[in-house]
Amino acid sequence: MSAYLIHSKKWLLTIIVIATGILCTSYLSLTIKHQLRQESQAKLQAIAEQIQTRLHESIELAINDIRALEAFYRSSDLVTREEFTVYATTLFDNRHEYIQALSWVPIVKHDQRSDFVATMQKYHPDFRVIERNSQGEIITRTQSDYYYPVTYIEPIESNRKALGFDINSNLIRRVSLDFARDSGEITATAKIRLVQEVGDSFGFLMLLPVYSSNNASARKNALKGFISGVFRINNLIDSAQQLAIQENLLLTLTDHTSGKDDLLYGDTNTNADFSFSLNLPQRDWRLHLSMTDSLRERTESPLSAIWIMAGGVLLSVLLGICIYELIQSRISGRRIYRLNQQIQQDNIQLEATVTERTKDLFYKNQQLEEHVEELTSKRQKLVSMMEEAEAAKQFAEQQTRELERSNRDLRDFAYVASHDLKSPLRGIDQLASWVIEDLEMGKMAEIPENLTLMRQRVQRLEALLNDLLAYSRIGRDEEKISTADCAALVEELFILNASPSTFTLTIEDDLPVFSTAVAPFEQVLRNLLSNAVKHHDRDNGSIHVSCTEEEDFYTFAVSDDGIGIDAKQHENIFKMFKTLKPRDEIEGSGMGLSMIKKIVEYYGGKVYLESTIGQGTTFYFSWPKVLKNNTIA
Amino acid sequence: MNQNDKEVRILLVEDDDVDAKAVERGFSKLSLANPIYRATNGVEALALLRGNDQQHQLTRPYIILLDLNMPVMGGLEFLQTIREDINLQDSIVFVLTTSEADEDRVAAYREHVAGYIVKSNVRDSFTKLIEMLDRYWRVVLLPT
Repeated sequence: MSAYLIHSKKWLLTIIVIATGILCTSYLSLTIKHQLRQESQAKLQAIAEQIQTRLHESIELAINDIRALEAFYRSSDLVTREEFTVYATTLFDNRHEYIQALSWVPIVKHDQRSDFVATMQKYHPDFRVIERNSQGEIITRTQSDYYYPVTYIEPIESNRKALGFDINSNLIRRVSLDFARDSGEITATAKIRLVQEVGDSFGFLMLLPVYSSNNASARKNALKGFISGVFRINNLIDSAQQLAIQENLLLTLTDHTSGKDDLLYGDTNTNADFSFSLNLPQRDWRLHLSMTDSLRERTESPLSAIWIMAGGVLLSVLLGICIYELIQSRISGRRIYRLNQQIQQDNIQLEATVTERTKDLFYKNQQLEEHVEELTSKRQKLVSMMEEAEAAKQFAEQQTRELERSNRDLRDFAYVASHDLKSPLRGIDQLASWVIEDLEMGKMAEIPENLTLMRQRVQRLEALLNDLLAYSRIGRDEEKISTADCAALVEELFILNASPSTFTLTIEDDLPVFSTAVAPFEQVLRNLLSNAVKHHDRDNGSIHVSCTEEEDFYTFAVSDDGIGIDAKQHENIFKMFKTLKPRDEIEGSGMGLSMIKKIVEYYGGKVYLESTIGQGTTFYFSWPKVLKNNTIA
Repeated sequence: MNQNDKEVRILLVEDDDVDAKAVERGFSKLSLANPIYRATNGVEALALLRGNDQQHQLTRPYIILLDLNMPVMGGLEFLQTIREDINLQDSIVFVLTTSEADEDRVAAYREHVAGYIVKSNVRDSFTKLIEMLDRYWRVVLLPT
């Protein structure tokens, strides 16, 4: 609906614009055309007036000349041929172009004719008084009362034919002659064919009577003759004609004296655009100017007006098209604008949606991040908890191990209580009861032996208690750090151990001197050395002590050349109170090696042995080069 | 009953000389002439039972009196060893120990010992144990 309206509106507006444009242009064109025509009319009129003026001037000049000649004649009774010639020639010097000739035409009465002719023949032998017959031929003048023969005429060369011509012989001329004679006024004749005319031009005469007396009433009788100006119309018009041709005008001259146009010059068929009166004495001439066809065309429909019209129409159409296009583009612009708005709206909506979504996402993201953070922190917590748990587990395991060890120790101690401590006590009790028994029964023989055994049990018990005390103290006493010269220490211990002198000790050169907790270190060495001697199967054993240096530890080796220890027993021997031989055979608490193990392990080292049955045993133990604060493994 | 006429041999596995002596005194006090063989640990006892030492193999019928705490090879280990030995698994064993620990007692009976006797319980009347053993082998028919 609206599209249709817009469509029709578009066309309507376009048509209005084009129509208005064309109308305006037409009006403008017409106005311009009118104006141009007026202008050219005015211009033409000016030219016409110029032509008229020029003609007037020429005529005026001619009249003046004629009057001047008349005055000359009036002032002297007789004007000789020579005087006339001089005078006329002077005038002709300037006015030759429009005046054919100036002549003197006296009145000659018939009785004077022969004298006149005779006189004239003195100068012009062929002179006679002539006239033109009805066929136009020149003949001698028939008889008449008087004649007006052309007597003097200047310039003579071009006007010789007129000499002797009785202008009174012609009716047209005669009318004017009579009028001039009677009025005394300068009078122009109607158009005539000049006698001297060789072309097709008309001519006329301007006649001014010369009287012997100026009395008006007696003029007819006092007439001496006429000053005649001979005009050839073509010559007169020439200059004007030239001007007219220049301006593309056609010039026509008519004589309107009789009330209707009598053609003097030009073409009667042309319609005059301008007509002027041209006043000659006693004559009403009309000068008509008409435009040539091309000029008329130009004036009627000037080219500029056509161009304006065409240009205007073209402009209007272009304007119309422009407006059409403009409307079109405006429509499409509006459509685009609408679409744009739609798009913008959509866009805004989209943006809003996006913003909302983004916000949502952001929020969700934040939530997620929070979640992640929470999770991370939870995870961290979990990890730390797990670590704690692991640590706790390890701690617990360690504790368990410790506890196990402790339990084991306790169990071992229970053994001590139940067996190793009890058995010597029980033995003492037993022996004591036997002594009493034997005393009662008077059997004295076994009493000393039993008492010796009893003392042995007491000593064993004491040693056991001492060792137990030492064992329990391992790791509890404060470590006193001092320098241990291992070679010297081993030697000293070997001697202090009250080893039988039959044993030999060899010490390798590379035993270290280092700073450590000397007391436990000494205990380990002492026990190993004493074991080596105590459990030797011979009295002349040899003991060898050496050391190898490792990264963090020294590993000491104490070797003997005794019976060796069965591989099956390697584990057992480190157990508390385990002895490989009955205590009655070799005195020992059974705690030496377990004490060594406990001490060495307390400081982070290891104890182990290599043994070959019958060849000997080597006990190794590692000892840290530098003590750490917490050396419990 | 024929067996009873035969002299039951006593294998005493005991590291403590005083305890060994106490057993011997108990036998002599009750005028029992049963031959007593002494081993100070399980290894020595096995050697006697199997006769792979230069010593003579201990011949049946015999009763083993076994201490538990001994060097080299303890009583329980000895028990496990003879119970796995086809020739020795039917041996009558009395545990004679200072250990009152339940685990020891349980472990010993699991190896089918004939009795678990704690030394402290016998105190000075070690003879009661010997009397009980004397009656035991008189009444019980021992494996041959």
